[in-house]
Amino acid sequence: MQSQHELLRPDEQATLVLRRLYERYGYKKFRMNRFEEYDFYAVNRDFLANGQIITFTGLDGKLMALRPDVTLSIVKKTQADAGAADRLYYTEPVYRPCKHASAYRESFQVGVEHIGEITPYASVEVVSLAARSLSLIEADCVLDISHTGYVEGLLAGLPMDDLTRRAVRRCIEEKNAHELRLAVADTLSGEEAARLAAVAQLSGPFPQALPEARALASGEMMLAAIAELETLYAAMAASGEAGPLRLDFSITSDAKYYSGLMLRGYIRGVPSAVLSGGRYDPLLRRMGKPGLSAMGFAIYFDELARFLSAEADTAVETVVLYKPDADPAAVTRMVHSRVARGERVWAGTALPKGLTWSRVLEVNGHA
Amino acid sequence: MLNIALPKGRLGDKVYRLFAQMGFDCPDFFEDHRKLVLESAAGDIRYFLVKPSDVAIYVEHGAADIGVVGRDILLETRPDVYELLDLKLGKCRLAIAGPNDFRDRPDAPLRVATKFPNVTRRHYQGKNRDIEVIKLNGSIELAPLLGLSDVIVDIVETGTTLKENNLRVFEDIAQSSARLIAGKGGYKFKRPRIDSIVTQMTEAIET
Repeated sequence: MQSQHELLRPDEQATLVLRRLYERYGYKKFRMNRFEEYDFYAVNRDFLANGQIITFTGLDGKLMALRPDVTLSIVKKTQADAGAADRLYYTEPVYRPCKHASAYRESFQVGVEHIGEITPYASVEVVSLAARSLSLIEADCVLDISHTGYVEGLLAGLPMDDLTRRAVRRCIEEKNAHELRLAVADTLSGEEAARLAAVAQLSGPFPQALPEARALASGEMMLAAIAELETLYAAMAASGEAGPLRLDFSITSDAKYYSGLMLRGYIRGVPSAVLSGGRYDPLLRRMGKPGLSAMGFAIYFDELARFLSAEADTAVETVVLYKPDADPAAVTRMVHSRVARGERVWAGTALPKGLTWSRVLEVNGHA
Repeated sequence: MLNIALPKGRLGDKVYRLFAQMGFDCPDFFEDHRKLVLESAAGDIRYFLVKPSDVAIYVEHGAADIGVVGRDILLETRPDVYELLDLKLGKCRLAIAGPNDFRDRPDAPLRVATKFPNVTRRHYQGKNRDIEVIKLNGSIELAPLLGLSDVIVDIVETGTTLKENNLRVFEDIAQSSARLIAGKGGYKFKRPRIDSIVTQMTEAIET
């Protein structure tokens, strides 16, 4: 007989396991409406992975939106202050355009938000939860870590116009050292261009990549970023959780919303990132909550849909065949008795199509 | 096993020769092109021969770990992949061309025929110029000759076709050549192998 847990679909099992993890670390489930006023998302459109939003008119005539993102709603509603952090998790649907289907889709997200004061321990806790979340879904996983201060510190020290800066960010995101060299050929010295190209290509396990990153760092911002990454890695290594961690500066982000540690998670067999997150203090400031800091991540179940799917179960143990005029009490007795033995039973007047079975029992007796 | 998507045709053949030089040769690569999947002699590499514009799709979706694709296609489709190396093969440029005697009419939208509608829109948006994009799938040069468009945005290699049809290049939009790309998910788990190929290819290109 199947246990209740086994009856759940793989994605439901994963959600349950993740919820248990977050509850154990003191995170509380956050529930929210699926609708918000459209204006709320419109002013923060750049924060969304894709600016398109499903809208409709509410009964009071206000333009409403089907929630395309969870973090914005949580930040809006949080009561956290620096002394009393909100530690929340959610398991919620969001409504966004599907990257490959040219259509809106309801997709499911599970995520964690820590809002209040992000101490060095709080950073480690969120990164640790992200790494554990990935491992619970698939042991063969990678958690890329970046720091906005490192790349922004590097760019801030170089004489470039905004257009070139944008091109350089894009090249770093693509690990595209050859185009990066071309983009800065007229503005930077060979040495500066080589340093940028080295950062674009720098990635790997922390013990190898972090000393390389330190060697390339200069200036307060870059060195502070390196110090934070070193503290994070030391804590993760001390607790034996550094295995999936990789340093990778190709994670870039919008400085209007993010500053600090950035996360992207991958599992073997899924072509895109399944986890994304980071530190988003600037978003809090933009939403009128200065003095707070926050960090979180979301796991995209739409990216995991195939990985967490199972083939249709077409097997039953017992087929109960009865005549159309059979005594329903006799059929019920037969079906209940087999179900009580833990069997999966299918009752009908003819053999089922598309199912397999171990035995066929016939009910004799008319009504 | 490393899966590699190569573009069908001359460029794919050139790139395959690079891989073969590096020891990843495949006995029947040139013999039977009806086969869609070819395995290296050592059995550790699998080549897929696909339409050039589909290479990045195979890589982005993880069906291929790496692939070779022109920068023109990457600029048009902007796939979410890493661009690891310029192979310096298949060099050409994306350019705006039109009839030799073309005179722009700034008051009317410019009609542009192209296989690259996204590159075209981005380019003219940057110039704040109103355009009508006419998406074609081939023989782009014909469009201005028959009055279907004012100008074209297309790949130019030698410029001979343009010249023979009384067309000329007005402006280059971007330079293009073959690029080695990698899928983000695949790169995370096959990085040593892919990095080693990048290193070997860099050496092969430079010699």
